[in-house]
Amino acid sequence: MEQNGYQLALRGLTKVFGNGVTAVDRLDLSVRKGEFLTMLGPSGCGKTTTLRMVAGFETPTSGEILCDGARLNGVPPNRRPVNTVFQDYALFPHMTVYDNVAYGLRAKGQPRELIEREVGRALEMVSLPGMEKRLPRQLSGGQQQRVAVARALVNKPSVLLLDEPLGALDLKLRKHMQLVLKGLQQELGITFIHVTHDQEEAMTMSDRIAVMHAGRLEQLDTPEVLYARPATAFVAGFIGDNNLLDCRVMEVDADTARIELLGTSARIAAANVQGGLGPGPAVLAVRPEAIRVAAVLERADNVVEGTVEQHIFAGSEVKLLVRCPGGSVLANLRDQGQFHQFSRGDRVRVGWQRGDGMLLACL
Amino acid sequence: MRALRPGRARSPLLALVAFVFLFMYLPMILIMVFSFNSSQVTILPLEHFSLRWYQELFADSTILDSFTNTLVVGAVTVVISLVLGGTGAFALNRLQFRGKGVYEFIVTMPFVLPEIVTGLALLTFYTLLGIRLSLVTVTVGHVVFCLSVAVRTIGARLQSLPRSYEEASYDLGAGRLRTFFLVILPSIRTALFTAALLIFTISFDETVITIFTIGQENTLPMLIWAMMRRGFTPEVNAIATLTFVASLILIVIVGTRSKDQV
Amino acid sequence: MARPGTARQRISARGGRRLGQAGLLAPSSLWLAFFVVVPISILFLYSFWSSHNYKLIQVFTLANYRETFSDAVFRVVMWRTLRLAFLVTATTLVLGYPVAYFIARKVTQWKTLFYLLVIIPMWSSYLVRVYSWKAVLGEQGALNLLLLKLGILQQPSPIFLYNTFAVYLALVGSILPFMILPIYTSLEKIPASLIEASSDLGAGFWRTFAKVIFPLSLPGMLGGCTFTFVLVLGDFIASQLLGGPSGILIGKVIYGQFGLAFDWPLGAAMSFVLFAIVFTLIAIAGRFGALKEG
Repeated sequence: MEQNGYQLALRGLTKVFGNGVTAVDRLDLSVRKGEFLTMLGPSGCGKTTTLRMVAGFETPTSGEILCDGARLNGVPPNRRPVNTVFQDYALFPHMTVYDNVAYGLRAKGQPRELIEREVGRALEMVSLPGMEKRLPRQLSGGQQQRVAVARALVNKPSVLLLDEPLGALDLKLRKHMQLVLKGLQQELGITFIHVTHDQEEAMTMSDRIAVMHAGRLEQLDTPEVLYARPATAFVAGFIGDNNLLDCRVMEVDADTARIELLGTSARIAAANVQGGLGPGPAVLAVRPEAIRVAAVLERADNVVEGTVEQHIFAGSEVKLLVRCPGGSVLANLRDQGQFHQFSRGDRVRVGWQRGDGMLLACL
Repeated sequence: MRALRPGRARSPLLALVAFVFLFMYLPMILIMVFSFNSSQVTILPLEHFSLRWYQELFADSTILDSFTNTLVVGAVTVVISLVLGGTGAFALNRLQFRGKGVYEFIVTMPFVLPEIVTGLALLTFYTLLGIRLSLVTVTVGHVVFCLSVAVRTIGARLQSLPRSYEEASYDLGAGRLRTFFLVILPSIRTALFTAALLIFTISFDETVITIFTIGQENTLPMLIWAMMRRGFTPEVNAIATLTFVASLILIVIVGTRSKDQV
Repeated sequence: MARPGTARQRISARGGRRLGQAGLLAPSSLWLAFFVVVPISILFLYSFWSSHNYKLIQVFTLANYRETFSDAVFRVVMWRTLRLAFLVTATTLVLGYPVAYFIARKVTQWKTLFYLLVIIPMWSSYLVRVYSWKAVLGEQGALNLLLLKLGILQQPSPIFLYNTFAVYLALVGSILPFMILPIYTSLEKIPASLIEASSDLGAGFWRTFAKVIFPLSLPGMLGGCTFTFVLVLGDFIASQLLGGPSGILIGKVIYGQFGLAFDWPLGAAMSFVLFAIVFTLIAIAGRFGALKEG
């Protein structure tokens, strides 16, 4: 049973801790059935607290949690149709893999044949067939993580909560597991709510991302929209590399916004201006790939003069850091050929189009 | 899941906990109350509150002498135990040698074995070798008993100490001695302090091993033991109270400073 | 770390370091060898000698052991002591586990206070605490006073003291902290996420307790039980002070051989039997990791 197509709805969810800290501040969030949603933000932004409130380990100070139309507030964790993959995996060290995965089914009193079947299927699903008799301490970190996932999924929850599950894995394994989890979610069609501080990870795995900051929801959108059209300066700075240039808005009309920055003036398309922004200090967020660099730049809407401060070679990407009056601009160069064209100290011109970049209120 | 989270405990549990603590403490509390009784006969509530028995204690030179003896034995026990236990803990922590398990076992043994066995073993040892019993033989017995406390307390601290501090010291050019005094010793200071207080407390109260290894002089526990065997009197209650309160103070100091090491 | 000097200098420096490091082990090892291993061996030796007219006869004989195992009194007392050890261990376990659980999982703010309340008796004089039960059970004790006040008794009764039951009560009261602490330590070590995971997977409180909490507290329980059992086996203070004629335990019998009876070899043999029993228990328990706790 869904409510307006949403499986999980958080309404005005607030959590104030005993020491006065407001971890989550009137959060309104709706998760669609079968979607992979990630709550993304720096530590302390409230994402984990929100997850724990959905799981039932924290009691909301106010607000509601609705799952499939039913109110979850006050329902103890063992009776919620929700399962969690813990950050430290929380595998019972004194039980075998089999007993760990079977735990939830046994708690519900399922018959032995069913349990055997389901556990076998769950372990195959996470590519760990034949590991039933092992103890957690005999498994690698990646294997433990997969057992934790199997243990949660075998109960067929309505929603699966993942609390920074990949944090302890090394980079290569992490990237591999990101795809594994994503594939699993798509295959099973279960709603996943994932918590992480790694924005690249969020972008890779999610259907939609809820960016959180200081207990509030900054923006809820697909990765593409978050990347191209960040709604606030925080989101702009948090997702991907971005130039956040301090500027001054001179005037805004129906078509264009005129701003002053880096010692010169620039024009931004009105569609890219944050709602309600008027004259005064603001922030211009321009992606490095939207910036073009040349010794002599002719065809750009906005041009600024500067000096090359640093060369950055990052394998697949080559960048230049250009010092302009009043700030520095990071530009992604088109190719390696361009990289060798410039050296430190060269005078260059950087430019971008009026349709690139978002004009946002200051943090 | 109210019962699973720290929160208000259910009342049957609370009642049981209260009962158990009462069971552990009531007898001692009664002793303390009785020690302030003005008369020889025990009645409740106390007829008159009196410090008479305490005054008599402090005036008794036998008691004061044994008290001094106890302090001396305790202090010496602490020093020897810390040195022996400290070097042993370092050896266990730094070295790999085949007899490690055996060594650890022998160190722990006197502490887990009944004190009567340890005491008798030492007695037969002294007797066979013709060594006269005295406060020295008592101190030896105390060290044997307390050594494991020193090794365990200091050893635990050494284990949790990051090696990188030492390595940084060597890297910066310091020698072994300088590193020991400027880097290692300050880091284990708390453990040394904890071990010292614990060992002193044990030695202060140690009765059984002392019974078998003591000569002419007395320690306080010996005096108390003799007094107790004579009967239930307010003087005994007074001295028992004092002993208990002394231990209490020492343990509170240790317990609040280094909870994990006790 | 690169050190200056020739290879030979470096090798001898390493050898010197090893000597220095072995020097760390020497003080305590010598002490242990001389004051633990040797005395135990001598006790063992004594058990094979005999005593006659207050003189030690250093002739090998198995008479002491024969007497120890065949003497009816010794067997009765040994049996009584073992039985008491079981009872005390069981009682302290049943009483102590909930307290340990309470402090570990149900107290947040006052944890240090409760912890102190447990360890204070543990480190204070055993003699004093055992003796303090006279204040409860004695003719001038609180129990008698209470019964007199309530009119149940006309005169103070001596039946509460100087028997095995008094010893039992005093031992339980005095040894409880030694049971509570290791269990508490075990329980504290259980990560909260395991309990949350159990709940998350649908288990209620009792299932979580039985399947997760209890098994993980077994090492602490084993340590506490072993320590308690050994303490009772070796006790002679409680037996001496509160046992009277019917509450004699092994410890007191052994002690007696070194007093008026002056049969040291027999006492040594009995001690050694006690030692062997305790040693075996500890070795078995140590196998199961019990000694790591508390």
